[in-house]
Amino acid sequence: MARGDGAALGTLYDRHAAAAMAVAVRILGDPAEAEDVIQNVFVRIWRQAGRYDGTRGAVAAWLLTSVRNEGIDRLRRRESRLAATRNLPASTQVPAEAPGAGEERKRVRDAIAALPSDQREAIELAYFEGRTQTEIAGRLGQPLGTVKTRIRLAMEKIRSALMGPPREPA
Amino acid sequence: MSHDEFRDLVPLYALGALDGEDLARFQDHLAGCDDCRRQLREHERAAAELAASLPPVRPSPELRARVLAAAGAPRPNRVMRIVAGIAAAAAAVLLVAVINLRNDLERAQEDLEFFRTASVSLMKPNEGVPDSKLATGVVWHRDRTLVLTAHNLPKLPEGRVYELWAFFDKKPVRAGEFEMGSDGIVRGRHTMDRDLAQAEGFAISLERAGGVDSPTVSAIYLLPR
Repeated sequence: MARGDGAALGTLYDRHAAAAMAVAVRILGDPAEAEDVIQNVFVRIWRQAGRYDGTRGAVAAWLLTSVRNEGIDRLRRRESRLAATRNLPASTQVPAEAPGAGEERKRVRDAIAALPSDQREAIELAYFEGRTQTEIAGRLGQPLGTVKTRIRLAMEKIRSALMGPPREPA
Repeated sequence: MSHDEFRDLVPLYALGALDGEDLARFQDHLAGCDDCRRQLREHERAAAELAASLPPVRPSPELRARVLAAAGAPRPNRVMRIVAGIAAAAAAVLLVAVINLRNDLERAQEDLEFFRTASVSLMKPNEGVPDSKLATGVVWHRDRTLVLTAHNLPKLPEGRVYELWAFFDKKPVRAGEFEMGSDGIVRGRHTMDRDLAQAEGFAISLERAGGVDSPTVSAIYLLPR
């Protein structure tokens, strides 16, 4: 049974490590530190797996969200910045479904690829660099309202792509 | 701020980008707004898609062995790899069952020792909150580890958890998020980074998973007895 355990963790790793590594490297830049994050997250998931259902999409979303959050935590610690007044999605908080497959996958990728560069820049600063709206406004030299609008428009497009064509805004 | 204005903040919150006044007011609104919570779930999925859309990056070949070693799992030999490959789908499902079983056994042994030596702290209903009248809760603690059992708490809405708070110097400190079991009992274990012998008592509030640094006053169900 113990050997079966090892094989199952190996399978999980083989399936998701490259996607997880992409997120950690995107956030941290440093591959060695990114691998530390991957290791922590896989070990944690391994130990807590009983709390979640084992379906492929749920595990992938949980894992990528965990990698993102731990990556941002490290980034902040590295920059010694206080995070007292912001919200960081917790590592326990996992999207209920997805990332999706097939048609949906392609639709979402296309939507992300088609984002105007100013909108993309704003959501990437938030998601991959852990910046708040105020920090993003400062960084881009744009009014706060403009930053909020860019983020909202970008996220609405991705969400519409996820939810499918019937709800796509005209 | 109107509902529509709050709804415009949902995508920012899902990305972790809200701060200051906006964050505080949004969290208050979210606690009582089903529509915003539903929208938040969709936007959290959208945020996860940003992660999933990156081109894959292969980690160094050594990392796999490091992960397996750190998890305490033996390195599978070649035959096991082949078996695992053939049975990949079944293994993913089995994984969950096997871990549950292993954890149950280990925990049963640890628990015996823990409960034999732990201190007990009781909680009482917060009468200011509806639906709290029959609630009861108890925390066993020793060193930095605590075990919570609470009965008769309201069913958890989607995306919410029961947050346990330990009071140190009369200030609440997060002491773990807990979900409700299918038997209606909220129970679980949590390890803190400080000695629980110093804790003056415990309280439980209903919160958004991972979202708060202090308890939402209107959602505190149990207080220190």
